[in-house]
Amino acid sequence: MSLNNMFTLLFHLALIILMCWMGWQDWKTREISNALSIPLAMFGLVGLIFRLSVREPLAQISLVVVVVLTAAALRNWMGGADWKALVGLWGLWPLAGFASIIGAGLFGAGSMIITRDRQVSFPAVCVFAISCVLTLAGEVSIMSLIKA
Amino acid sequence: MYNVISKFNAIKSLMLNKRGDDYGEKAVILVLVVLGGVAAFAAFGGKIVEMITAATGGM
Repeated sequence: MSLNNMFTLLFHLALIILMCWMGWQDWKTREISNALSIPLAMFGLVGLIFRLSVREPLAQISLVVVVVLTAAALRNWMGGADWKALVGLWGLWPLAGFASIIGAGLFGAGSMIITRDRQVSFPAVCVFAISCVLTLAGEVSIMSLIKA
Repeated sequence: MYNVISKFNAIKSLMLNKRGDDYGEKAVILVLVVLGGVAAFAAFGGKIVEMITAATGGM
């Protein structure tokens, strides 16, 4: 594994630790401390601007998704902490952000089917954290395949 | 001006909001919207960027 890949993995691991911590808070209290979520959102926005400035191909898609998420959050479709976590993920690790949205949709569909309640609420950041862990597991397995 | 200030206040209150709840129905709709948006941008994004570049090039 190259040094660049190792650095990327360590960065993603740090993000996962932060997401798990936020997910634990969400699970226990249904609220997340602003001391964790605001820096994540700010770093995500800075990362998104940096990626746009170096003309990374996926950065424009990330910007579109962040705009859609912001419009949805302003209409009270999700909690503020969920929005901040997703903005942070889409800015710093778009693949995990995508996996998190898909994971939340699947979890939401499953909960609707089980509870037969369309307005059922769930701690979304826990689902985001699990999605991030699965994404990292996928990345590590692909990187090990490339090495072989 | 009033609209700009009210949008700024809405984003500020969203930034300070600690709530971590998501809703089943809305999460499913959001997935579909994001998937549709990403697919549309992947299909037509290049053309849109070209059109914007061509439009701003004439200025």
